[in-house]
Amino acid sequence: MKMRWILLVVMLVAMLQACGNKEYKPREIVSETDVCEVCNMSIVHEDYAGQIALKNGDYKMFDDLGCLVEYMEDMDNDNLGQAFIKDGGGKDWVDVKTASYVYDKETWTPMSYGVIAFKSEGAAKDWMSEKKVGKLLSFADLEDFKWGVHH
Amino acid sequence: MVKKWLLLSTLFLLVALPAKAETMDLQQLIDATPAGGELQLQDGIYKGSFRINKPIKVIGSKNTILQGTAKETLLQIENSNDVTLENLQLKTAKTGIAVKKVNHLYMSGLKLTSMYSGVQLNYAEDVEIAETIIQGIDGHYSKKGNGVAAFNSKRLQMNGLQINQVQDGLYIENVSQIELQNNVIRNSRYGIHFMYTENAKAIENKFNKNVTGIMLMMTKNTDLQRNEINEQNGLNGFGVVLFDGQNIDVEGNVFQSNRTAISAQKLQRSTMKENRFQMNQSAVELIRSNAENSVIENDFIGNIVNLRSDGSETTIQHNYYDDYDGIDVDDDGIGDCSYVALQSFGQWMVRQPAYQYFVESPSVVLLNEMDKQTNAIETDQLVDEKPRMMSLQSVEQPQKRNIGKIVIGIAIVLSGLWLWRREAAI
Repeated sequence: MKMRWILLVVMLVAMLQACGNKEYKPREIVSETDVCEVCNMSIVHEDYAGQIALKNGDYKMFDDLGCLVEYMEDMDNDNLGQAFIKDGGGKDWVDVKTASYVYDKETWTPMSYGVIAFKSEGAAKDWMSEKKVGKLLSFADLEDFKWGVHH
Repeated sequence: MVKKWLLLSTLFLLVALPAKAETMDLQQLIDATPAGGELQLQDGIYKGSFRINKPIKVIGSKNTILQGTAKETLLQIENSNDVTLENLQLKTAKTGIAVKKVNHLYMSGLKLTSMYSGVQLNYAEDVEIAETIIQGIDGHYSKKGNGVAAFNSKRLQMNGLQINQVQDGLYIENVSQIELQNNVIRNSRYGIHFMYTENAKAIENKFNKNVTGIMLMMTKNTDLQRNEINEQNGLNGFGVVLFDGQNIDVEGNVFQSNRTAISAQKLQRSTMKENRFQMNQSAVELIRSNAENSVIENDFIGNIVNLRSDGSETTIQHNYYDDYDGIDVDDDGIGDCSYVALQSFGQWMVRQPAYQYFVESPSVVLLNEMDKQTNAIETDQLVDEKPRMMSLQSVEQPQKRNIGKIVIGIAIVLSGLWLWRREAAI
């Protein structure tokens, strides 16, 4: 009898854990219809795009990292599933909280904020040494970053 | 025999001349022209990619064609003053004309076709582009470049441009003192896209069937006057988006058949005055904008929703609304009771644009009627305390007397009388 109870508890814990570990995946950009949630710009430069997967299954799309960060600052964190940004090569989606960032005033982005994301700190440093420009930033740095005032 | 040879030689030369133009090296001609000189080009096709880095006038003829390849820039103008290009057709290129660090550039009578992007200006000053046609490539606007893109430049003028099927007709970033007048931009993403620009003027331009007519972002001290902004009515269509702008004057424009005529977001100290909003789904929406903005003396005619906001306070006064049902007992041209534009459904549409598809459903019509009853006691949001009874058009254009028609009318009446008298006499 005791064994049965233990088994039941273990199964319930496993079920609850499965519910809690929902995996969020980025979705494809649809240039014809996707617009930035913050600035209304059409998302035509996919290499700089970002998105937030909400817990309710909806997605919020952004044309530039700056718009995504602005939206995250204002949103209710309880609704946030996972936020993604395209890495510097524009191929892969990376988690905004684990990505590394480089700011360079002359680097073009759709909102001309000049901040681009990389999968890892190493990739960011490689880009900086190749281009000989840029300042390394973390996600925490972005929360205080003054978007759009560098022009 | 000698005459025969002379005749054959002359015929050979006549046939060979156009071929000479086809293979002519334009770069050699440019290099051979002294600084400050003028290079007159004959009709013909000049193939390759070319570079100008000295003061020069390059003047084409009726059919002077510069032709490149889809992978490179066709004409580069760098580090120079006083360059003029006239009457040239540019075909097939990644970018038609790339300009960098140039002062006093004048381009007129150009035609750019079959290229990813038309003209790019970087660090240019005192540039005028006039009477030029830019025809973009087929396909979605995410797969092509801009008509004219200007970065980090000063004192630019663009007049009489006709731009079709590009990403952004005129992309203006970090530019001060720019005038855009009499341009026609169609079938593109944005007609004009201002970013971080100051002291700009867009006057008497026409925008038709773009995603957005004018997209203005992080821009200051700009006038948008007497433009015609029609049929930006796609899923995300806007006549004008004013995003994070300061001191923007939107005056005397006509907005017709747009999804939303003006969307103002984070707008400060700006004015929308004497515009005509006609048959748009929504005329003006105000989101996160401050109280120093004003919407005054405009005509709202045949729009589904005239004004909507997320609670942003704005001065709304002296506008004409075709659905205003108040009266003017003292005959001063101003309605005796306030006009309240507050519509529950309009407010919801600000938050959820997809609701627009239910806009004329029976339940929404009923809701709007209920709003009219409750709006009688609204004194705060979207209230025009002094609505005009007449539209600007009817006030400004008093009924003209057509003397010719009056004379013809009198003549017909007199002729009729004469005929009647004559018949009566017989």
